[in-house]
Amino acid sequence: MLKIISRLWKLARSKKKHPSSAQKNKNYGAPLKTNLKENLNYLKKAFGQSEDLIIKEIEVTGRKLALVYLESMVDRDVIQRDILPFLIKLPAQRAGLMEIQFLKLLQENLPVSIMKEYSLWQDIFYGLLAGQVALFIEGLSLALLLGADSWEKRAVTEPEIETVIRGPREGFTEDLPTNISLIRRRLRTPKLRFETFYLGRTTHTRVVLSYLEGLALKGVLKELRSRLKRIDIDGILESGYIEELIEDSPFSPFPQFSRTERPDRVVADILQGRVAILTDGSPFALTVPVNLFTELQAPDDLYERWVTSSIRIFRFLALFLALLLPSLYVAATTFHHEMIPTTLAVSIAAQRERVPYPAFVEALVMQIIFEILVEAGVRLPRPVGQAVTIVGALVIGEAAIRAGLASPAMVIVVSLTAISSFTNPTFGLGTAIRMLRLPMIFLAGSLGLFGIFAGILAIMIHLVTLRSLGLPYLAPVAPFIWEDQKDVVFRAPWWAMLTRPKLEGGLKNFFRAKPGIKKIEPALIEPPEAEIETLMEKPQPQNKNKPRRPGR
Amino acid sequence: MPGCWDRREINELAFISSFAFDLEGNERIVTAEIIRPAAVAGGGEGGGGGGSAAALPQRTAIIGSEQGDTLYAAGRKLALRLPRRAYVAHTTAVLLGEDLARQGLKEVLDFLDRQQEFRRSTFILVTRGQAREILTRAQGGLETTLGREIAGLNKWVKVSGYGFIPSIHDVLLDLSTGAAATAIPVLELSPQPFPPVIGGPTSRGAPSNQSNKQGTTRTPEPEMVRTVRLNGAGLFQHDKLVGWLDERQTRGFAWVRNKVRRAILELQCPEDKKGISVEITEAKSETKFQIYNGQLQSLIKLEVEGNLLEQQCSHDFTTEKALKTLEGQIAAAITEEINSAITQVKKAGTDVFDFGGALYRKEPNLWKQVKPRWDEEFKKLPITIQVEAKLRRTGLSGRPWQPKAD
Repeated sequence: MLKIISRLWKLARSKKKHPSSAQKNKNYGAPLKTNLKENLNYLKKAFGQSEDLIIKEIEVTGRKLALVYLESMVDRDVIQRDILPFLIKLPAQRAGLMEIQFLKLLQENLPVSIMKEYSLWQDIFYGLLAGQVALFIEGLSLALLLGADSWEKRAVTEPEIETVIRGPREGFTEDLPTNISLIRRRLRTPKLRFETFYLGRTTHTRVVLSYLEGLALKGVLKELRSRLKRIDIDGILESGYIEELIEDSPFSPFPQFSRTERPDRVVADILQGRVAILTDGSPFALTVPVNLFTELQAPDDLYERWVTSSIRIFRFLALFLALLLPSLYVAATTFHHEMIPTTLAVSIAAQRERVPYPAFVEALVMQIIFEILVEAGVRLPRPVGQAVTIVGALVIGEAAIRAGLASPAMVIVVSLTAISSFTNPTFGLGTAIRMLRLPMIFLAGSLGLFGIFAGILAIMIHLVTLRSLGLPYLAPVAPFIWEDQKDVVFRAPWWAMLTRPKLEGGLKNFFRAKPGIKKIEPALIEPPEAEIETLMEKPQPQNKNKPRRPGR
Repeated sequence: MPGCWDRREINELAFISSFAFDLEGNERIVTAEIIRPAAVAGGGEGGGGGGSAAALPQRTAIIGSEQGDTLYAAGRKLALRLPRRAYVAHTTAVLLGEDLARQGLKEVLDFLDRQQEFRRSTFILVTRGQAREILTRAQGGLETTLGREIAGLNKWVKVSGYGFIPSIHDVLLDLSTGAAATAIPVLELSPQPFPPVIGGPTSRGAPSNQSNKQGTTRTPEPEMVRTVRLNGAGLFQHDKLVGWLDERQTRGFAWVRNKVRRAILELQCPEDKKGISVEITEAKSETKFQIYNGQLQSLIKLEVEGNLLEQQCSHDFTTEKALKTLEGQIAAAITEEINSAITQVKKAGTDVFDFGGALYRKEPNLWKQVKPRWDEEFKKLPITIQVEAKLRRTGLSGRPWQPKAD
C-alpha cells in the first residue's frame, strides 16, 4: 500500500520539470575582474539595496583598496582595531610595488588568523554571507577573504527536552561552530572528522557530518554523502528537513534517525561507529544508523551504575502500555469480558452504569481530549500553560466522571497511557506511538483482541523491514546478534563492554576496551599521618574560581 | 471471531454469580443469582424488582428462578425477564439439588460443558434437599454474593482439611476415568444467632426445612443469620447420587485422594483425656496393590507431617517417648477417619477413592480383567491403611509451661 503511494508520488514529482541545479549558480560562477570599480559595481548590483552591506574604499600607498563586509555578520572591532589601522599605516616606501608583491605583503602581515584568496564571485559571496571581510585590490582579479565573523548566539544551556539525572548538562546551541567545539572537546583525537556540506539553494545551510575516521562504516558514509548531495531544496531550516529528505522509508511513523541535543550522546554514538549530522541553526543533531532500542536508551543509562540499568525494562513496558493499554481496555470491556477478574468486571460495569457511550467511543473521546491537551500544553505560552493543565485535569479527571461522560476506569487508562507515552528518552518514538494508538483503538473496537493482534502484526512486519541507512531497524534482536545484547535490555558494565556493535562499528575496530580491566588490585593507601601534618601547617588553598560556563 | 457485530458493552451484561439447578417432577428449575453492579458501586438506590426476583438484605444481587423442560429452556425463560444479557462466564458456583443429583448429573454436565461461556473452573456443589433453598435463603455476612462466598470457602476449606470444592473439570475427569465415581461436597445453611448466643447455634431453633415452592421473598430473621457452610459430601456412582459422607468421613476421603493441604486434629492425652491440637502441614498418600493368595489387596500409604499447636495436659514433648506417643495418636486418628469413610463408601458401593484408577495406572492388564465387575470387586477389596506420622515442630515452647506452684 505504502509502496504504491510512494511510487505514485515519485511519478508525480518526476513529471514536473523544475529548474535543476545547473541554474543554481547561474550568476555567481563568473570570475572577478581586475578593475576595482567594475567589481564593486557588480557587488552592489548583486546585493541590491542591502543596508548592512558596507563597502569601504581606501587608498593605501597610492593603491586603491576596498573592504567589503556585511555589517550584521562581522565583528566591527576586528576591522576598526586590526585591519584598518594596519592598512593605513603601511609604510609609504612600499609604494610602487607590483600587485603580486603587494598581495604577498598583505598575506604575510595582515593581523588576521583566517585569510584566503578567491577569484570566483561564488566563493566571495559565500564568504561574505558567512561573515568574512572581502578585501579587493585594484588591479588584481581576486579578493582576500578575512575571517572576522561574529554574530549574536545563544549561550550553551541545559537541554530542556532531554534532561538527565546524572551526566553533563550542556546542550547544543543553534550555532554550528559552538556545536562542533562541544563535540571536539569530548573527542580529542585527530581522527575525528567534520565534513561540511552546503545544502539549500537559497539558505546555503552548513551541514556537517561528524564521524571517526576508520570507525564509521565506509558504506554508510558513502551512502550518506550521496544522499546529502542529492538534496535540492530551497532551504534547510532544521535537521528535520534533512531527516525527512534522506530517510529510508519516508512513510514510516518510526524515526530512522536518532535526534538529540546532547553532545555527550552524539559522542557516545560516534564512538559506536555512527555518523552524526549537525545542522547550522538547529540545536538538534541527527545520528545514524540507529535501531529501535537506541531510541529507548537514555543518556543516564551510560552513566548510572550498570546494575540499575535494567530499569530500562520499564521503558519497554511503558512503550507497550502507551501503544496498547486503551485498546486492550476497549477489547476487554466490549468483547472479552471473561478475561477480566469477576470483581473487577462487576466494578467496571458499575462504573459504566452512567456512561451513555460504548467503551470504544469513550476511549476515543478521552484520547482525543488528551492529545488536544498535550498539543495545547506545548503551544501555549508558559504563563497560560499552567491554566490549561489545571482546566485539563479538572475537565478530564473530575468533571467528566461527575457528568457521566467517562468512567473512572477509563480515566485511569488514559492517564496511565499518557504518562507511559512520555517515558521515551527521545521524543521521536513517543510521537510515533501516540500516532499509532488511535488506529489500535479502532482495531480493538471493531475486532477485539483479534484486531489488536492484527495491528501488532502489521507494526512488527513494518519494523522488521524498516532500515536505518541500510541497517536493520530491530538490529540486535532481529536479526539476533548475541554479542550486541550488551545494551538492549540492560547495559553491560563498561568492563564487560569489550566490543562495539557489530553492524555499526564494523568488524574492523571490534574491541573498544582491553579485556580484563575489571581486575583492579586494591590500591595501597599510605597511612595519612604525614599528610595530616602538612595540612595542619598551611591551610588548604581555597578554589575561588567559579567553574566557568563552557562554550563560546 | 469477534467483531463489531457481536460487541457487548460490559454494562449491558447481567453477571450471574451462582446457579442452582433443581428437579421437581419433570420440570427443571433454574435459579440464578445475578449481580447488581449499581449496588456494588453504591450508586443506585433500592429497586430490586418484583415478582420472584427479590433482593437479599446483605447481597448486592437479585435472584431469579424459572422452570422448564430442560435446563436451557428454564434458563432462557429467566434470561427473557432480564433487561441485560445473562452472562455466565463469571459464574463462580453451581449448586445441584438432591433430586437432580439422584436422577443423574449427566444432563447438567452436558449443559455446562457444551455452553461456551461456562468455565470448567466453575465450582460444583450438591445440597441436601432443594438447591434453590440455599441460594435464596443464604445471607451473606462478608461477601456480596453467594458465588464469592463459595470461592472464599474454597480457599478456607482447603487448609482446614474438612472439605474441598471440585470444579466442573474435576468432576468430568473423575466420572470419565477409572471407576467413574466422585464425591461432591455438600453446602448447607448454617443458621447463626445474631448477636451470637452462648450455647450453640441451635439454641434458638433452626429454620424450618420446609421448602418454599416458589423460592421467593421471605422475611429476614434478624436474630438468625443464615450463613452457609460445607458439611460432608455426596457420593456419586456413575453420575448418580448414591450416598452421603459426614464431615469426618469427608476428610477421610480427602486424605486418600491427596486433597488435604492442612488439617487440624483434636486428640486426647492418653492419661487424663485432656485435649491436644495438632496441625497437619503435609500429607501425601499413595495407593498400592498386591495379589496375595490370588486375592487382590490394596494398601493405602499415607505420610503426614505436623506441628503441635496446643496441649491442655503437661507432656514434655522434648522427649522421644512423648513424641512417639503423639505420632501414634495422630496416625490412629487419621486411620480412623479413613476407615470410617471406607466403610461408608463400601456401603454405598461407589469407588470414590479411585482405587480403580490407581489399579489402572499400576496394573493396566489386571484392571482390564476386573473392570466389568469392579463394582462388586471393590466392595470386597481388602484395604490396609498405613499412616506414618511425624511431628516436626512443637511451636515456640518445648517443655510445657507450668504456673509456679508455691
